[in-house]
Amino acid sequence: MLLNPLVKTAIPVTAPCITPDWFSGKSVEEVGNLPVYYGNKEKRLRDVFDIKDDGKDIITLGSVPTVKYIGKGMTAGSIVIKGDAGMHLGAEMKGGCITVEGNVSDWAGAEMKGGEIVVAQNAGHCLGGAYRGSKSGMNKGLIVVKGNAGNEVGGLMKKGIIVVEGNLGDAAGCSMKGGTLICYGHPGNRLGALMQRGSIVLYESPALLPTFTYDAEYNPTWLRVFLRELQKTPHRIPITQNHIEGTYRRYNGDISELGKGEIFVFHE
Amino acid sequence: MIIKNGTVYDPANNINGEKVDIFIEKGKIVDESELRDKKEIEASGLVVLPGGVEIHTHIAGSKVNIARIMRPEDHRKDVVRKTPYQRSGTGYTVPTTFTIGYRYAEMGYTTVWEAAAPPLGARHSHEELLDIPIVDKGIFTLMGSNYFVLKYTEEGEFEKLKNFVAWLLHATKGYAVKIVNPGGVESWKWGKNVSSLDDTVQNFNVTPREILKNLARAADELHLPHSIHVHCNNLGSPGNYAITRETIEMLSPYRRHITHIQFNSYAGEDWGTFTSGGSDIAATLNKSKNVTCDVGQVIFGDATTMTADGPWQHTLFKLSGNKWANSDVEMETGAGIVPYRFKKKNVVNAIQWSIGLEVLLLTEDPYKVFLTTDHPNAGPFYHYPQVMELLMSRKKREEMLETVHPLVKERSVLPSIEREYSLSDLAVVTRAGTARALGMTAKGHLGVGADADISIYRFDEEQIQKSFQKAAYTIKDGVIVVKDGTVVADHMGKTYVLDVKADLSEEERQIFSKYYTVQVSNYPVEEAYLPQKEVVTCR
Ligand SMILES: [Zn+2]
Repeated sequence: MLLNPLVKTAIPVTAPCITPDWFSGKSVEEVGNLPVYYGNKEKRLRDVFDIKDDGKDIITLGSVPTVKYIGKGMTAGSIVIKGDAGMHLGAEMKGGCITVEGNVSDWAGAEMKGGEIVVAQNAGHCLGGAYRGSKSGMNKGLIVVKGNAGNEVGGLMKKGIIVVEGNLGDAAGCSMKGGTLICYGHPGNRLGALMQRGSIVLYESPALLPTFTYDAEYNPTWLRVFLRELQKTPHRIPITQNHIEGTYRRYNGDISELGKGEIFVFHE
Repeated sequence: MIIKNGTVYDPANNINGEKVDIFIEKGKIVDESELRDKKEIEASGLVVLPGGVEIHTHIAGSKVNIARIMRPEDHRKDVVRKTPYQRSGTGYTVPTTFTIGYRYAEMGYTTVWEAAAPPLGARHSHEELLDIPIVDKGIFTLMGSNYFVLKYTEEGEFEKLKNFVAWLLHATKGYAVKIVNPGGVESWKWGKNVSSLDDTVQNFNVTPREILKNLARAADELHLPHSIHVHCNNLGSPGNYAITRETIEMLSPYRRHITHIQFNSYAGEDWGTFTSGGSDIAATLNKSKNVTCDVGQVIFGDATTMTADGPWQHTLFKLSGNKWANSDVEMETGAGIVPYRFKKKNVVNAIQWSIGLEVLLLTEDPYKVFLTTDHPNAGPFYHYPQVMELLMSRKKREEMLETVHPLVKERSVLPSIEREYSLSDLAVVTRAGTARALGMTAKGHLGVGADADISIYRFDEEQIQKSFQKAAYTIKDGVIVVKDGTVVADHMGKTYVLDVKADLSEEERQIFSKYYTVQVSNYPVEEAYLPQKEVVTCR
């Protein structure tokens, strides 16, 4: 299915219906009939998008920076966005793959439970995070961001992998409970604040909070295996042989909480 | 307006399922001869009941709002869109003010009582009540650990106490004396609690027994329409049915209402031996006079516990590991909030669930026991129809029993109870009984002179829960506010207050200015907060 926005608008469009699960087996006519909110007005998908059937199962969208909740809760299939995507992209998704060729706004992959999100440019705040009040954020799945990401990346994350090839905003991995966060650029301030468990892997040195303590410099076995597996994905994550075989300085924290979280800083 | 050919259940007037036409004029139920407006509602095949009267719920004020702030995850799963007659809002356990009004009305409830307003927060409670549409409402004022109450109880100055109670009801625009864990909330300010009726309260030489007796006597001597409204000591602890029984018995002959009694009907020594004390409590209720209670029935699923019982909330926080808020109200009371989830497969939760039903079914006189969930402590109020179904159908109870923890069958007598509520019984525990206990003479019945608050249902014996979830019609003050379970009119209910008048003495004013953060002149709730009030005389 090909969806192109009919108008360029600043008004948010709430369209959790744009998922392979909702689209599967439906004709252009039926897809056009799915409900969306345009601002606070209920409309149909066809009122907002020009919909064409290209005979493929993949849902392809034009640039949709104000369309929210694309791929929400999807369980399988693929969505490709040929430009920017709005907030809550792939929130609570369980499977399938979303590819964004431009930027994505805040809350992408929030509380996702599986599947993959790949962003060619930058991501907003709370990537893979937990909605306010929730006990945990991302819980399985993979997010790869080729550019930078905003604040609170992987907040309350429980399982899964987030890779940010550019810089991280502040408070990345805050209150993390598990999972792995890898950053190739500069990590922001208050990294891993309140983290209980989980791993953060860095390739630039961070300004660590005083509640993280240095343990040792070594080559963690798990990380070797982990990076090798990650190399096999088609996302061209910049993992080098040095990264796999080199040593990392390990810090544990946040000791104001459980303190079983770990931050690895690549040394050589 | 005429409600024609309906099957009417009006137990207060001994009408039990008869075809009676009801005539409404200017918001009141009138005799046929006074009828002018000849508009008809054809109600043949429908069940007509007085509008529901909620005796105990937490819907307005500081602790409700703390819970709202604390639980964004709760709102997210229950979003309410606006309609031409309804504002948008959210549920689930702590709904927004407007949604509370709509949901009560959709269920056929037309009067609701906020059961715990801290005096200092009374203005806030009234502010929120103003934003709860359709229903009539009011507040109970917290007094069980108030400085002046403790002081006068300690000094044996009953007349001063009585005067203070009257003044506080007047100042807070309250309707009844609410007592929560008497003495315990004061002790909690020093990290302590009380655990028997004869423990001494921290810094005061008084006991819970003395506090309760004094306030019960004051409420009776002031001729308040509602008795004292008591949340007993030791709430939530195994073995607490003994203190509940003792409280009921020692307060005789004064009137007393024991609230959410389910939370206070636990036998056993500890959590491992936790069993139901429901039948014992029902037996006590059966042989006592001047006593009423509401059950606080557990609804499986999410709840938000909120009470002035600060020490218990701290215990629950430790037990559950959930988030916790604690609040200290200077000189007066306190509060705690902890989210909670009642699980069918948790043995304690399942027994708690059985206890509420036991008390409702084993108490012979339905005028003594009322249906509540202590919203949102044991579950949201809009799940009442679930409980109604369980009360009216033994078969449904048996089905439900199969899905809960199997130990319930050993530790509760619920499986052996045969009683099924009739529609009249149900009308008593949700309407006639609560209205009588609250001293609301124009509520809970359909006789001439009553307020035209009426709920009409499409009753189907096979689908009792569904029947009561959405009223076919809810009529408030003679206006059709709900049709087919949907709000169809904007309507504003009244706030109920008392005509008590009293003044503070010079000494009291001095204590006030010395220890309160608020000047006494700024303390009373102004009339501006009661644009539509109904004043009830105490006699
Ligand atoms: Zn309560």
